[in-house]
Amino acid sequence: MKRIALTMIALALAALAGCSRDDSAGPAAGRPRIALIYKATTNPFFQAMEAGARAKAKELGVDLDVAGIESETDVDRQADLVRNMLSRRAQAVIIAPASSVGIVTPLLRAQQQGVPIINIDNRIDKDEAARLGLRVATFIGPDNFQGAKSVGDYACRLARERPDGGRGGVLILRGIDGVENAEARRAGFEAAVKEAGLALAGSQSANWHTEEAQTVTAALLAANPQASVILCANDKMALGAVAAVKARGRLGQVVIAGYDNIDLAREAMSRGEMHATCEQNPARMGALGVQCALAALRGETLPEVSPVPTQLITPDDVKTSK
Amino acid sequence: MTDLRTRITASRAMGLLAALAALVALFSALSAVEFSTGAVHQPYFLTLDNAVEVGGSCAINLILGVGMTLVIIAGGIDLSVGRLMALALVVQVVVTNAAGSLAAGLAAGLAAGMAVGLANGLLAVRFGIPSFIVTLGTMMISRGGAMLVAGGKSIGCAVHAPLAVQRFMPIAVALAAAAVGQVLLAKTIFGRHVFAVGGSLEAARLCGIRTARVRVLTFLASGLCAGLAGFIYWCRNGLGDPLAGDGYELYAIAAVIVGGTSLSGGRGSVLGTLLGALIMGVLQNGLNIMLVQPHWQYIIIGSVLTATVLADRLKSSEPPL
Repeated sequence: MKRIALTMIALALAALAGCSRDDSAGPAAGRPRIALIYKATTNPFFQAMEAGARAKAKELGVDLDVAGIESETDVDRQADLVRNMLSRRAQAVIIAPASSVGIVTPLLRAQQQGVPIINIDNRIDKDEAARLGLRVATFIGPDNFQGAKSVGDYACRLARERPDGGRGGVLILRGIDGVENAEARRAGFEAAVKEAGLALAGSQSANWHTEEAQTVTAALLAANPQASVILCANDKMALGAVAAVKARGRLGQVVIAGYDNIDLAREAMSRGEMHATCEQNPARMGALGVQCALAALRGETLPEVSPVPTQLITPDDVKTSK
Repeated sequence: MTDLRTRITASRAMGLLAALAALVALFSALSAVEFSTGAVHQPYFLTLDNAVEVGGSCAINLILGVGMTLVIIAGGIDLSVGRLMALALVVQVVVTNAAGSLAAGLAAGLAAGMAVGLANGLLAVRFGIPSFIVTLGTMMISRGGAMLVAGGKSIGCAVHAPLAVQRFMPIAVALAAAAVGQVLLAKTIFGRHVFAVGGSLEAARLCGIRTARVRVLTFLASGLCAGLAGFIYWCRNGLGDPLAGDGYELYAIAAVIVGGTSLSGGRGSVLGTLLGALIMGVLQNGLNIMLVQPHWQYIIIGSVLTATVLADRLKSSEPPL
């Protein structure tokens, strides 16, 4: 037993010594190796992202290594994965960070090895990156402005076709003010309302929450009882708006739109309570991640942000897909 | 008695070394196969880089395991260490940012770890509350405390560890902690008292050992180790994350048990824990690097833990409980 153990250790050490650090880095044969590191492996959003990335990698002839952590927040384990993928000689890293601050330090290792970093989904903290000198090739995120604009366009058009012609005006429920995606969605909604020539009757933040949205909507409806459209920066708030409209007995007379395409919103649409939402297209985000990684490897300069087009979802889509 | 104890540990250590070598050989072979099929450009497992990586990623588990070994040999258990590490970490980062000095932050972090460790010990020993319950409570308190100190979010640190510190400090500190723990247990009177207390509390008391003090000190040591682990977390990740350390106490216990320390106390070694942590680290690294899904990783690591204890039980002449 003892001798076997000692022999094996000796062999392992010898192999370790013989296989010293390989500095002849760089791809041996053609196919580039790219790593996708994400979080929340059980979340359908990220599973769709992985599927999109894998399909694109296959199409482009890229070796894609995919690794993820089960939780949303385990920074230490995700940092391990970054280093493990570097050990596998990843030449570019696509990362959906578990922590926008905490991922910076582990990524510096990648940067030092000349590995370009593509940021996806959750944006790396700009201040921390600047402070530690981390350069990110590009950030791939959904185009929140365009998404909200398309939802707003559709909802306003629907309202104009109705008997009241949308003359009751539009209410907007905003996300948390100051947060990047909340501001972009607000701008998209406002642009749509202006373009449709409808009146903006009221606009308030409900901080993404369903219950808060219900109270806020109730208050806005008290001031504008004839409102024709309610545009909500996420589906959860749209569900709160549905409840408030229901309480006033006007369900069906108000066009209610949300954002995110969550299951509850799809159900509300199939019941005719909601009229539009927005799908963020995680699969396209994954695919674009692979494309951007390849471009970065070729030495191309990428834009600071690479927005991913979103997709308008209406009750018709819900009926056909389920 | 001492002879028997060391003999058990020595044969155990050999078995663990063999298991470790087998794992290294397995992953090397798998990576070589992947290389030969052209799936990767170079073999990647058996490299110096990756060896350093394994060392770094086991460091926290090993440090927590050293403290845990002392506590378990003395007949206790410490469930607080994972969350306590997070508390010490955010205290360290907050103080570092406020005082502009890493040394001050580190001192504060270690003090926080030791304070909670001392509280664990006093509550468990002086008031006779089972340590499982006491440390379950302080685990939750530490978790909430960490969130409170950090203001409910991850905080960046004004001081940044250079790359060499990120890579080698964890290994150096972990090895130092293991060395100190090993010497403390194997070579000092305190160590002998820890074994005696865990073997039979009553017999130890009748021998004139100040059992309460010995047991409290093991919890204090475990708290100190949690503080050190917080420092290592900062070295590796550079931020104060109040949600860090989720489940780390269970990994530490696993390393201790794989290392041959008896959960019922009185028997074990830090050397075993070192090997246990290395086995788990190599396993985790190998599975990560072979792109094994996390679901399978849990199943495999859990199986290894159970199999080790089962193998122990089959070898042992004692009747099952």
